[in-house]
Amino acid sequence: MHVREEKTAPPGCRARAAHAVVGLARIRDGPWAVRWLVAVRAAVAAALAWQLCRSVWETPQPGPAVVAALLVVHPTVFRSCTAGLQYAAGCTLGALIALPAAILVGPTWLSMSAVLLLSLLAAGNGRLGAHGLHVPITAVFVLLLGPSHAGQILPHLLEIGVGIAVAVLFNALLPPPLRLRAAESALDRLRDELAGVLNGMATAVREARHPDEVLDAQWPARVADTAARARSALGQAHESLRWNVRARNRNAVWHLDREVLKSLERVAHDAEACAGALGDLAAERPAASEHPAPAEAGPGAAVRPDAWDREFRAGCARLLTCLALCVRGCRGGSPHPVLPATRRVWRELAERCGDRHDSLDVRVAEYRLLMLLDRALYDVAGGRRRTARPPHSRTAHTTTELAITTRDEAHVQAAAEHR
Amino acid sequence: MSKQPPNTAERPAGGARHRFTALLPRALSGLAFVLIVLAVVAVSTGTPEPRRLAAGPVSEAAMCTVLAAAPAALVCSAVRRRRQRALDRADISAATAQRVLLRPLPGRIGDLRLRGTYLPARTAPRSGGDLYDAVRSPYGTRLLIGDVRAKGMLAVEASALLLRSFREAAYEEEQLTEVARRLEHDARQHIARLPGAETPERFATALLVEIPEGPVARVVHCGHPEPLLVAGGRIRSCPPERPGAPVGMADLVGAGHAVQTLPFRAGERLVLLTDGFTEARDAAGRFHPFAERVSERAAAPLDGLVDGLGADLVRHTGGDLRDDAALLVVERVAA
Repeated sequence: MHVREEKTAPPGCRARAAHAVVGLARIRDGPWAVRWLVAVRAAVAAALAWQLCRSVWETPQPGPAVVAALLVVHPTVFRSCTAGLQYAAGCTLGALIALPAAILVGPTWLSMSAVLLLSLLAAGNGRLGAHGLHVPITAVFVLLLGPSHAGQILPHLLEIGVGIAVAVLFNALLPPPLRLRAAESALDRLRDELAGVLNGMATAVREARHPDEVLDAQWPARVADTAARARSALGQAHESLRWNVRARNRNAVWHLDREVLKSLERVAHDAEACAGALGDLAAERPAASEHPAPAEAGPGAAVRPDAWDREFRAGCARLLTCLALCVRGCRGGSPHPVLPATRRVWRELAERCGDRHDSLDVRVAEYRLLMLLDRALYDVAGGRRRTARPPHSRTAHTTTELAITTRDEAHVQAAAEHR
Repeated sequence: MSKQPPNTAERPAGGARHRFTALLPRALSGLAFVLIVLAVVAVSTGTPEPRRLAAGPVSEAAMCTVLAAAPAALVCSAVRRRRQRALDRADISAATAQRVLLRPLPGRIGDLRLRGTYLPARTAPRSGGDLYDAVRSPYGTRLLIGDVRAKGMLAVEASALLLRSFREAAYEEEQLTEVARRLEHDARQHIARLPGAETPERFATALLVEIPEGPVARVVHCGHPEPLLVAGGRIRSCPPERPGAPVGMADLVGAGHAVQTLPFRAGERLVLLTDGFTEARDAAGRFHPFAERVSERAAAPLDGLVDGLGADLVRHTGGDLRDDAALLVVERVAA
């Protein structure tokens, strides 16, 4: 039994405390927290680089160090280190391109053209990223000053190096930010959103109503938006783990596999298709018991209560409710324990549906809904299909040869991707 | 009962290497914190010279900040450690209660030999919830292995309820499906008494096995991991023909319980397990290859098989079990 801890606080206090905790969590996981963190880190790193250059090398105005430090501080260690390497590589490359021309020719229109051409070609290298811009800037700087101003060039480059080193070390060693909780919260929100939609559909089916009467019209956009946020948060979480010394403390992050998000996104698409199929079914077979057809519509349009319709609706509602449970339990690893029984219910419902002799349009609508539900059950299991076998052989050889699933392979791949 | 493998809840946190790797990031962070505080002071004073650190109004403000922040950080750290210790104690209590709840299995019932083991989780608060039992009834030997989806003492309470219900029903009910129905009934009543009973996500997975005199075994699946059959050195999984709903969710799913009959002859073994054995991961995220381990130890004596599988699990996770695990192996010997 999945139970919750019983609390002794009065409901009002509990609600307020929960609200406060949720509010704090939203602030902590929100985009402004990251912006503040980066701004503070960048400011402190720039100040440190400034002070270091002034005190050690007695540089009066070490502006390049400050700029480098500001540009290299990022929300994650990996991006910070990458930016530092790109910045340093860009400056080094620019200096190396311009140095021969500066020594041999000096700043002429020809040498300037050649240096700019080469440096711009080098700047286009994808590995330098946005910091490729520093290649031509440094090249022009070195070419214009030339070897006669080596006393100015070398301190400038040294200050850049100091700024990069300070920013990288600062970001790597002073509590490196991990963005795991934000990703966990985003995935939880997506699960809740999706489960709420599926439960709403179950209510609509059970009460023989159109899904639009139960769910608001914006739910597909809302689910898509929540999924996009979860994808972004998951990407940040995985990136925050890279090269991070604190990642050793949080090695249990396998519930943040990208496969989990992919499964949820596929189920979201299936849910949208299910809503459409439910709408088609409602059009083909309007709620018989609750809304009998008017007498003037003719005898052909008279709709009588149908036992099979009620049974089909109850079965579909059960499937949707169980699918919602499976979505809540979609956290990587084995699927929710209710899934095998749900597949059995689906199979029994499909078999009974095949025995019917209703009109073709109604049967097509029912089959379409069942197929979409089957696909959703397949997707929520992470692409593993083990349908309950029909009970033909009860006694003989009811075991199957053990087949090692590809689950390990998938997670090894996920782990490699994660690393 | 055979000798138990090392209890992960009572083990120390690991070897010296593990402790070192756990402490290194903290030490680095602490060192970095000290360095940054000194750096901020130096920046605020405008010079790193020690003799001028305490000069001027800005340096006084920085020193006051440092003097206030350091005790606050120490207090926060102490509070966090105390809460962690309290959580660890609660988890160890739950694990101990769960071990007490699981009474020792009889070594032999008729032509059956039984061995079981329970490994509580190492990481709080995940302990409690896995259960197993064996009962000799007029209808054959009946076994239960299950996993309550709860944590701590609430899981222990629910486990006690299911075990009591099973011990009563196993003697009284002729059909195994009726035993499952009794478990479902008692679990529903228990859930209804809990606060927030409208929440449908309260359940336990279970596997009921009945081993009569003949060379068969009857199984009722309630959302539990399927058992493995070891026959002639080969491992076969036994997926359910008609899977049942987890205990406590039968009404929600609308799927009744069904009996599945398996061949179970002399010399064969039936391995019943909880998902703690299959869902455990190592540091690289790889699942524990339980079936492979069973295959490697298929020819071992029963004691060696159970102890070895427990030790394999602890080794695979590096002693860092995040969910408890239970294992029950039954072997039919020649009469």
